[in-house]
Amino acid sequence: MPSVLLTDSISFELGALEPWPSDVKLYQPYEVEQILLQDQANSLAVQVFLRMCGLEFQVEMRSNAEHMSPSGKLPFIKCGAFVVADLDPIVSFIANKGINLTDHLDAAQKADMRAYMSLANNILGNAELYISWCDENVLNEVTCPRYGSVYSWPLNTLLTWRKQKQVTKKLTALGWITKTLDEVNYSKKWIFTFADTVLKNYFCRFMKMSIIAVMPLVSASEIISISLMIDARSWMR
Amino acid sequence: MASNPVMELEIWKGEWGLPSVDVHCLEVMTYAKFSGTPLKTKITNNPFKTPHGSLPVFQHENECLTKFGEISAYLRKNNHTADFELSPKQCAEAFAYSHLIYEKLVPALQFVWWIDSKNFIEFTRPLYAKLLPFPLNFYYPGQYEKHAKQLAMSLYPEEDDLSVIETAVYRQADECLCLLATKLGEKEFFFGQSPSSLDAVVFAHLAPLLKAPLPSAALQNHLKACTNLTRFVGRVLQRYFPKEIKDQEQAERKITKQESEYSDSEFPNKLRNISIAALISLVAMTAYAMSTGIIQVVPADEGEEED
Repeated sequence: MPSVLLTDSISFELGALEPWPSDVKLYQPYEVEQILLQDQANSLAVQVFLRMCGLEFQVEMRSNAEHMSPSGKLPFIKCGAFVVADLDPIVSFIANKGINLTDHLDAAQKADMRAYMSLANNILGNAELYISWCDENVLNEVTCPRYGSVYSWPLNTLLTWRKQKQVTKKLTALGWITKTLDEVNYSKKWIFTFADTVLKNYFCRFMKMSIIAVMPLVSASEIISISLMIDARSWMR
Repeated sequence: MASNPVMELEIWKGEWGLPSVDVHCLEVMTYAKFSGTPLKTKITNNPFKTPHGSLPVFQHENECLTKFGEISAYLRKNNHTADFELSPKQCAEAFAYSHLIYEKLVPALQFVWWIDSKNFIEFTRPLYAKLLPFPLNFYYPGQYEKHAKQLAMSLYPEEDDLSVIETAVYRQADECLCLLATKLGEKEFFFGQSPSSLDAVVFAHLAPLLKAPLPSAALQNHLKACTNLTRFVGRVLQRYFPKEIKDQEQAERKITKQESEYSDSEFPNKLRNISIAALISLVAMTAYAMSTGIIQVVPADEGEEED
């Protein structure tokens, strides 16, 4: 099977010729029982982006969405004959059709926007992964039951263990595995300070840009709620 | 650990006009120069005794830190900061652009340094083998290569072929370099006239890529095409590390002098040898021709001819 990363550029060139079809579907895991923090954040980001562009789509929930995705990343959209996964490739794919939210920005502002998106991905994305997969309480009480909820025993245990190994390897390579939960929370606090600054300075003029950058932050509220839940339980014990 | 009143930093040695070959050491050293910190550098080239198995190691009064984030926070706490002129919005931008570099450029630098086989075999491994003391020079280059490969595989878990990952990673790095060039524009530093922490991070990541004599230099050529970034690196080196530039120029002058002396001394011998050889061969050929009768010297006589 040809590689996803190389065929991306070819498929975008071909996809540019077709208009947006009416039966585009966005695939994600089940929202109530299965989906995890980072996948929900990315899925929300893609959904908001598509709505902001005024593009029609339907959300389809599948238990094996992660395995259906061509690059393993969630969510992915099926647009005519093309299947595109992850926010950045989807944005490029739609930009090739001539639809984007950054026409009114100059080059310096686009550079700033990309920098803030990297910041959100790096800090919040990795914090989400850390909290979901490396914190014992959250792992046992939330992540493992949710991730394995659609499989029967022993598949749920094995697949969860495999996913945990994969995520731990990534966080080790990035240097996040050695952080404590306090350090992770501290990094999140930095993000909120900066988001505050960004919104104050950009909100009036560049609403849409800031919202794209802020989208993954929506998941931050989930992080907080889960942290509070865990803290509350440990306090009660 | 003994309390150390002076701020000390253990680093890798510098080459090609740079104060250090390692990105993390450069980050800390440049930030210290920008913030005016009296930092004493010690060239150890030895990550064996360090707490995390890597350099740099910053020591000051019982504190032992290794990451740039921790060291800059510590210096800031001790009133040494390069960001005092920045507004909150600019601080946010500095933070964001640093993370842009960590997300998009660092994997590519790891590729160029450790995973690209031509670079690794012809450049990186000999370089680190030269810097490290025996017997560590057998262990650490392999370790660093393993870490780099693990980073690449973990960022793209569904992909098995390193060359495909390489294409994707280089594409992102090219994009990152363009974004940095756009941000810098024609300014001296990223936020005006005086350097900040972002300038330290950018310089540290770009300087080794620019100056190292890489055999496989695709990304390096792309960086050289961004002329404002190249000028930025040169400017920082000239203003804040003039000693290293002078040392490198002296070393280069010594090498060219040696080479020209060698060729000068060879030159007169060469000409003399060639002319003597030509003369000898001419004499030998003439003698052979005369002895076998091809040429005969006949006294000039009227009307007589030779057959």
